[in-house]
This record gives sequence, structure tokens and C-alpha cells, in this order.
Amino acid sequence: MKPTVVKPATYGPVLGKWRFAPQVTWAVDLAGITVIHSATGCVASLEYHEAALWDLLSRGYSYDRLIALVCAIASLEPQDAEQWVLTTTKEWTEAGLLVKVSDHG
Amino acid sequence: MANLSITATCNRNCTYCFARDLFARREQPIANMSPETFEHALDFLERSNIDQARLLGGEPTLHPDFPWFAAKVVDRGLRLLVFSNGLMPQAALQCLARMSDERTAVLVNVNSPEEWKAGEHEQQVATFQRLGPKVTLGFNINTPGAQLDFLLALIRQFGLSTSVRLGLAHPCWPGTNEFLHPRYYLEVGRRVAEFAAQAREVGVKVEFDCGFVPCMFPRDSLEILGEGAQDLGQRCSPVLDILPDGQVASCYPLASLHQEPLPDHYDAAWLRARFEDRLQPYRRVGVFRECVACPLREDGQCVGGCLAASMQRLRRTSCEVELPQNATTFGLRGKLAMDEDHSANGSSTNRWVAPYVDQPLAFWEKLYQDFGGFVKAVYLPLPGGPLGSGRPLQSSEYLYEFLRGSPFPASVLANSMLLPQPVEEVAPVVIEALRKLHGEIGLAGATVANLQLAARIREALPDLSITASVLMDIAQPNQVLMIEGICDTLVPASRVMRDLPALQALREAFSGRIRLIVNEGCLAGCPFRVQHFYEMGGASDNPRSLCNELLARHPWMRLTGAFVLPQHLHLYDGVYDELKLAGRVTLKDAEHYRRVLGAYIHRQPLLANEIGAGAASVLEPITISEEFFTHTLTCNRRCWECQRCPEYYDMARRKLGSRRGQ
Repeated sequence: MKPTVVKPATYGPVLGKWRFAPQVTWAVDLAGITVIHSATGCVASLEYHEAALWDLLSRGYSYDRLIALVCAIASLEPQDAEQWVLTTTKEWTEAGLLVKVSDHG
Repeated sequence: MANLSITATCNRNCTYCFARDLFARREQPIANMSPETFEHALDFLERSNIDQARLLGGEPTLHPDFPWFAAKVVDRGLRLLVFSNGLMPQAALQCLARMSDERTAVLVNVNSPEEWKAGEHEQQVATFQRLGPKVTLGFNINTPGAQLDFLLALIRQFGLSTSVRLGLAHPCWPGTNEFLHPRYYLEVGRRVAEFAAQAREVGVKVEFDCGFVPCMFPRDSLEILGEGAQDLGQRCSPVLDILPDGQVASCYPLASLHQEPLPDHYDAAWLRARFEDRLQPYRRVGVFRECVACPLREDGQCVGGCLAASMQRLRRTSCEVELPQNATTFGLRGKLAMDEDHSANGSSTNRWVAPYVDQPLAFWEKLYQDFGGFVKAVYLPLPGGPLGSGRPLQSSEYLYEFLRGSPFPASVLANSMLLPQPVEEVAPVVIEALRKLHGEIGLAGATVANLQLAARIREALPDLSITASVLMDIAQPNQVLMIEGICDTLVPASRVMRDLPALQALREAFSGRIRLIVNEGCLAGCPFRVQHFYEMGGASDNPRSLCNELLARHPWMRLTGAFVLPQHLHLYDGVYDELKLAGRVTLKDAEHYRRVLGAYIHRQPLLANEIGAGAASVLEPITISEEFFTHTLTCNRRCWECQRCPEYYDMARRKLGSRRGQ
């Protein structure tokens, strides 16, 4: 089953660099990945596609490799994969699971 | 229920102790509970309608005021339960012997006979003889092979209480105590069921401490386990351990996660609710991956085991991803995008792997605070020693602490030049070790020097990222074909580290990631390198650098080693994806490690003798200019007819001499 692709109408032109929030820990479960934000108490249960994306992020793949792998995993065209990745990461950012990295130069 | 930990002092040193880490830290500075705090704690019990004071430690009977504390409990009309190791001073023993059997109980935790120290059992026997039926035996199961039969023999021999309390050795979060890993639960469950059947035959009741899960026992054994097994899967809740300084922890294993002061007015229910709020997010994670979909958990028969054990499964990753400026043009960007990605510069491509050095967890936590976003993984030899790491064995005192609690993902080195047996025999052992680590800590990857071994790992563990070690000596594009499909990352041969065109050619040929080692000191194409690594990998008892004589003849060659200084790293932009800091041996010193890693990450200048590059590198604080370094990246290596490096070396040394002269 493919993930639902939501067109991110309000995405800004410059996104920048992101990483898992320092307070975030996660565990691989039978049904996917459980992500816990220790400071906010937010718990996210990520199932198949989202879990795969989280895992790929944790492995530090480049954006392009990430998209290529999501295409294969979720049977999506590149543009749809890209939009789905961006929508999903936006949700995770809003939930505090991802944070923007400050510009270290 | 609440426990009063009246002293941090103990006269035994159990490896599985839940309290040892906590008391060893400075955060628990008060060794003995004061009478005022004790009274305050008793008030709390009364306010909470708890009719039993449970004293524990450390070894509670070592508290100098133990008899007074025990009497106080009785004066307040409370029942007394003492958790002891049985090695108690005479005064405490006499005090407990005098107290009423109905109102007083002593739970004596014993270890397996093979762990008894000289004189320990004799002293416990004296306690058993004196206290008789007041004593209930307790046993913490810390190994899957634990034998329990001796408990029944002790009960019979000394007329002790006809019940036994079994516990599991739980991990402290994020501590270093030895604990029973949940992967052994099934085996332990089978043994406990057998023991319960034996115990029942002789009229001994088995009781269970927290953390047991129903699924660890054979399907038909719950009845044999008896009454003590009722609600067995639901016993992980804040027991409340009141510590000697008046702080309260949910339980010892989670004491580092959160503590609260003993309240003046509120009761235990209020305090438990506060802890439960804090712990609730972690409840989603059970001790097994399967817990999340377990029907026993769904209908409330099991909470998923010990929370501290569940939390051992949690990973923390310092990943970083760069999302592009235009999110909707991937299809159009195509190859161009890949080229941009490869040529991106600066910290955006700083994806560091850093060496494990044997430092306490606090070192790694601080390092994570400072550099967490830059360090992809910390690499270390494959624990357990099934295969060498290409270097002599290093200290590993803090290794398991690191593996359990480090915020950095770990990757392992399986890159010995010399396999101890044929690959068919070595590979299953290595794969099993990797599989376990991958399951337990979420291994970030493995670096492998033997391509046959790498292929077998790839086949068995397709999700595990494999890096072709620098010892594969891949320097030319045609070699890339040999590792494609097996390795995800390539560390080019050290002999091309100062050859930008060669690195560029590898970059173009390899579809995976290129990882450069920034501070390796070996000479480019050193004739001793293979022999040296062969000897370091275990073929010699005394591996040592072999290039001293060569460098004595051509000292300027030190300038041409396979290192790059932080200030020159920008010259490599576009030919790498990741960077590796070497230094498992040379950067052992915590401060030195931090300084060098920080300098590389932020490209702050260092002298060549500061980067921890080893014996063949520049050992004096001479300056290496960017102009000179750039020359070495693109020169044609016609060293027999070129004087540039010898002249630069002489000049730099002269300058150094004059600086020193001033």
C-alpha cells in the first residue's frame, strides 16, 4: 500500500538542515518504530513507511539517496516520494521530533 | 508500599546490584539517612496508609543507628521488613532477634553458592540460625543458568520461612550493572517453573518480585507457579524508594531518570502519579519487540516487563539530513542534483565517525552535547573478540557502559588483516555477534577488511551498513567494481589520501559513500604498512612501527603522510561524504580527543603534531602552509627529482629552531 501523498502547499523555499531532537529516543518494535520525546512526553508510533523513513534518516543517507530508497520502498514516483518525505518530516518537526540545526558555518 | 533506603553502605559487591551506580555517583552524597529524614519518611508512610516500613540499603543493618530505626518502626505500630544480605553486625542481629516474629521479617538476599566469598556463607548461616523463621530467602536471577535448588536446602536446614522471593537482575538506567537480558527470559522461565514445581512438593511458596512477564514461562506452568504468580506481569509501577538524603526515586533502576523530594503533605498515591506521568511515554516500549502487539498487554495482564529493561532497547541517533531548497524538482535535477550533493562543501558534508576511547559515559554525553549533530557514529572493535580490529587490544573498562548508554550510535570494526580461521568458520560467529549488537543497540554499521567476510555479512544482514576498510587498499576506480553491491561506504587507501585526482576518480566510480580518514600518519605507499598491520592484527606479540629507519633517512617524508589538517579540509570538498577521525590509541586522553575532534569539525587550525596521527606523522610543532599542502595534493610524486618537500621541511624546522631560540 502506498502512503498518502499530501501536497505541501505552504512549504517555504529554503528548508535547511534538520536532525533528531536531542531528547528523542526510539525503539524498533514488531509493528514499526516507537519514538519518544522525553521532554514533552510525545510518543509517535511509526508504522511501515514512516518507520522506514525514520530508519533511513537515522542512517544518515543523503537526501537524494533517501528519496531513491523511499521510491523503492513505497512504490512512489520521485516527485511524490519527495513530497511525502517533506510532508512527513514537517509533521515530525511540528511534533518536536526533528529540529532545525543552527547554522554552524 | 514504599522502601526506605537508610544507608548507601554495603559490605557485599554484587555485580548486578541496582543501587551501586546510584550510590557511586556524587548525586547521592549522603551515605546514611538522618533520624529526622527517617521520621519524615515514617510520617509519609502513615499518611499514605502504608502499615509496613521496608528498610533497605546498601545493607540497612550497617546504619549505625539501625537498632534505633527498628525500634522507631515498632513504636509507630508499623510492621518491619528488612532487606538484608545477611552479613549483619551483632547489634543489628540481636535487635532483630528480640523483635516479634509476627511483626518483623527479614528478607535475606543470597547469591549462588559459586559466588560465595570466603566467610560470607558462614556469617549468613549465623543469621539464619539466630533469626530462623523470620528469614525469607530472596534470590536475584542474574544469569540464565542460575541454579535455585540450594534455596530449598537452606530453608530445610535452618527452618527458615517457607517462601522464597525471586527477582530478576534488572538494568539500571543508564548504568553499568550486570543484568539479565530479556533474551534469556524464556530459559529462566523454564528453570523457574521447574523450581516452583520442586518447591511446591516440599511446601515452599515461590513469590515473584517485579519485572517477570507471563510469556517467559512455559504455557502450562502458570498454575504450578501458584498464587505468587497472580498479576505477575503487572508488577512494574513506582515502588517508591526513599533514598538516604530524602529524595525519592520511582525505583532503584530508574533512579537516574527522575527523583522527587519526599513531600511534606502529600501521600504515596500522589507521588506515584507524578512518577507515572513522567514514565508514561516509555511504557509504550516493552522488553521485547513483540510486546507492542501482545494480546496479554492489550488486555492489561502484562505491562511489558521492567521499564528499565525496556528502556535498554531505546536508541538515540545523531542523524542529520539536509532538505533541499526546492522540494519538488527532484525528477528534473537528476544527475545534476547528485553532482551538487557530491560537491557540497563545509559542515554540510561533515559526517564524522569518531573513535571509541575508554572514557566514562559522562565524556560521551558531553561530547554529544557539543558535537552531537556532527558525529554519525563512534566506532569500536567488535565486542567479545571474535575478530580483531587491526590494532592491539585496548582498554575496555567503560565499553559496556558506552554500549548501553551512549547517545552516539556505535559502529564496529571487523577489519583484521588476518582471519583467525577460514572465512566459512569465522563468518557465522561474526554475523551472530553483529546480529546481537544490531538488535540490542541498533548498530550503525561495520567496517570490514576482508571482502569475502563482507559479502557474507551483507547476505545475512542486508540492513547493516558495511564499510570497506582502508585496509582493502582501494586506490583505483577499477577496484570499486570489486566491492560494489557489497559495501555501502568506501574508505580509500591511505596512499591516495594526498592525491586529489585519484580521490576524484574513486568518487566518480563508486555509487556509495566515500569516507576519508583525516589523521592517519602512514606514509603514502609505505613498504612496511602491510607488515605492520599484519603484526598489529595479532601475528606479533610486540607490534611496533617499522618505518623509523626510513624516516631517519628521509625525515621530510613525514610531511607527505596520509593526513589532512582541519584548516586544509576544505581542499577536499567534493571528494568525500564522510570523515573519520582515527585515534583509538593516540587520542585516549579525553581533553586531547575533544580538542582534535572539535577542531576538525569546525575547521579550526591545528599543528600537524597535534592531530594524533601516530609515529610516522609530523612530531614537531612545525607549520604547514596551505600553499605547500595544496602542492602535495596535485604533485606528480616524482620525489626522486623534486626538492620541494625536503626544502620545506628544512625551512620549517629552521623556523621552529629560531622560534625556540627566542
